[in-house]
Amino acid sequence: MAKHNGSTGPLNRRGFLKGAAGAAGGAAAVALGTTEQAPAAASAAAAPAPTPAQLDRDAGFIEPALPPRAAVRPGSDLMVQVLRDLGIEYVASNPGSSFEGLQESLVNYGEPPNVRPEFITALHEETAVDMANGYGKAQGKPMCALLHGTIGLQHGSMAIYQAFYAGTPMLIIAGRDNGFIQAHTADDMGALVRSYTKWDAQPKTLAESLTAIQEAYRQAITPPCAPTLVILDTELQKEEAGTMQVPRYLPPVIATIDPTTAREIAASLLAADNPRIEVGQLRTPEGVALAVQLAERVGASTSTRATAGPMSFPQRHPLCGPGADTRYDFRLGLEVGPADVALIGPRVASLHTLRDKGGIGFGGLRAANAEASAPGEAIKRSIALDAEASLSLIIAAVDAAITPAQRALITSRSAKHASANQEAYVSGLKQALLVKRKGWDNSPVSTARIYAELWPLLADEDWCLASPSNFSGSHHRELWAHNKPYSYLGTQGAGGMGYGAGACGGAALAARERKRIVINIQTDGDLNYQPGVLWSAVHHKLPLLTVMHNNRAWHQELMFLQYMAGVRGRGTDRAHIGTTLRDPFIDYAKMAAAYGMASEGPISDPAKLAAALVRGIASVKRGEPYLIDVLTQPR
Amino acid sequence: MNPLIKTALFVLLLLSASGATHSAESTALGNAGKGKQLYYAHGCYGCHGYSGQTGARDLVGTGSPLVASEAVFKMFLRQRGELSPMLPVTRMPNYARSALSDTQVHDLYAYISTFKLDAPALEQVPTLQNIVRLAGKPYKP
Repeated sequence: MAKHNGSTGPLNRRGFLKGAAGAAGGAAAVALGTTEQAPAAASAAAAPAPTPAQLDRDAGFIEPALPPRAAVRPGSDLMVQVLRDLGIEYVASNPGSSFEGLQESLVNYGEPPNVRPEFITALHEETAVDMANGYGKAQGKPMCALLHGTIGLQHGSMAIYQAFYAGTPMLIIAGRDNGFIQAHTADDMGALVRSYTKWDAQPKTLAESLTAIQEAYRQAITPPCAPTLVILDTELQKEEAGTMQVPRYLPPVIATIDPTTAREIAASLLAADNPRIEVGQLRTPEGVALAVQLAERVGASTSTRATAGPMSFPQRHPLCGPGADTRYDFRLGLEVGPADVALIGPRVASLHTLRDKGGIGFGGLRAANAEASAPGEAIKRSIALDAEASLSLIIAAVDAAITPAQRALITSRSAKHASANQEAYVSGLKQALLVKRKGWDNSPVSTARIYAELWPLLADEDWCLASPSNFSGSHHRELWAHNKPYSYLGTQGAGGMGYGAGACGGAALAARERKRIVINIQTDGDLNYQPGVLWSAVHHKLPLLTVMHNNRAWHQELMFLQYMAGVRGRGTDRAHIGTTLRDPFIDYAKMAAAYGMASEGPISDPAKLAAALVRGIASVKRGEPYLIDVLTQPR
Repeated sequence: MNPLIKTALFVLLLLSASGATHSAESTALGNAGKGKQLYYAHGCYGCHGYSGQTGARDLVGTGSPLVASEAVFKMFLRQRGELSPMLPVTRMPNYARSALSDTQVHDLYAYISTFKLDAPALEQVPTLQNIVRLAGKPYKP
């Protein structure tokens, strides 16, 4: 499929560049339907630095050479139509010339324009990708991040890396202009992030571009879920589409267990006196609903990881907990063990060997490490197939095999589980409160009190805690009830800082049309990577309450340095150097105000916290994001 | 082994190894004001909270024998592991005499001895009562 050259004007840029860059054979081949891509030919020479004329063009001082006429039906309209048909709600981006055609279609094409997808203005590409990460975690489906050439892709790469580790489905599109500023272009742009994306393509024609976007979406949502990338040349965005039609999208066919195995599992669940279902992280809300259906059908007590991340069993469901009897005689694992039979679908680590073309060998992605961390030894029979996709078959097999006598037993057993689980929950909660109350009236405010004061205000709301809680005590795990697939979105993925604010922005995008509010317990160090998220939240009226966990430090690093100084006998009185945010202190309420966000603080008196939270939640429910700066204990 | 028993045994070992007994130093109060400055300057609040009650290693109300007496406290500071770890850790640092003098330890101990437990009964805090009440509400999908 040779690419059609859409340029008919006097300046045939592609032809010119073939000669100029010596890269005629360098455009990467499209590898639709595979995770492999042919390596691009090495560029004959390094890209030259931008010329003054090119920089003037970039700054808008020089008008571009115009083709004889604009396209009547530009290719980018069809690209947007593909996104629309896929159900992409948002495209987050920091604007860039390499996708000006696509951006113009996003904001002007369709009726109404700029709706599903809506262009979301991000102030940094890392923010755009983190937003897509937060959205993907909350909804279990891709959002789109649109990046500008090599520079936008590199800005976004850190967030892509985190999303890959998290296994978040995400569609990334990068614009490419092979004749504008050479440093913004590469022959094989996908190579920049190939080690930590699932699939990428650099199509050569408009028709291929449309198919590539669909395939990228399909790959992103097929286990193992992960970010995928399509590079779209600016010429393809601007060429005349004529009568070309958008190809029909075919959803992925996800491998499931066979009917015989499904019947075996169903029979084991029904024959057991005390079955148990261990529930890990599923892919979508629909998968969570199926897990609930199965547990209710067979009266099994369940575990959950809803306090640790998204897409798991509702924590306060009557069957969730240890149950009335912990001597389980059959355990089914859904993406987790221990279990007699566990369904565990493919993980991103399995892609890494194939995709790490540079042999970088990111430690945490090596398959060996992933296998070592899996609870394999506690699983008697592991089936390497996606649990969520297999649930419908198991439920159908249960329905076909269950007897009236079994139904009666299950009803009775479920009631006992419900009573025992409620008792265990309340007992555990009271024990936790005995610890959380320590330092209750301390100033600065204890992190436990922030979570405790929030919960009564949130309990009757539809809420999502989108910020990682690992640095603020994770008190929600014991104090809050995580009953939705998106109650808590988990940690950073690759443990990198700067993720929190952007991910919360994306979760708030998911929440905006769904009457949900998003809570961001925001560590101060993290916010300073991407403070511009605050502006995006205001601009797009996101239901986002940010409560600063302002301990004026990168606290983990402070403690590391203290220990290091201690073992070297040098004392800890200089460990604050490079680990604290003082001289001057940062005023986050003013920072928020500068971005147009309603805010208050800093609050150091815990007695003033609850009223501030009430004001904050009221504001967010009006569609106005709010920030409360709280000076906190370190942890 | 129970962690408290392990800690107590560790403390006994420290005491026997050092020959430490309750010294005159531990019976006279140090300067809590200077101790407060040290608590801040050395970043003790980092793990123990600004009043010893929060954070990764709270000091107050834990029953830890490591802060039960100044002699033990000092031994604990002095005899922490001194091998440089290959991986970052957030354990209690070692405090050699060159880094924190006996007098400074004396003042520091005086300061942390002023910490009082602030842990109101659940019944006294409406928020905490509310949380318990909410736990009784039936599950709503």
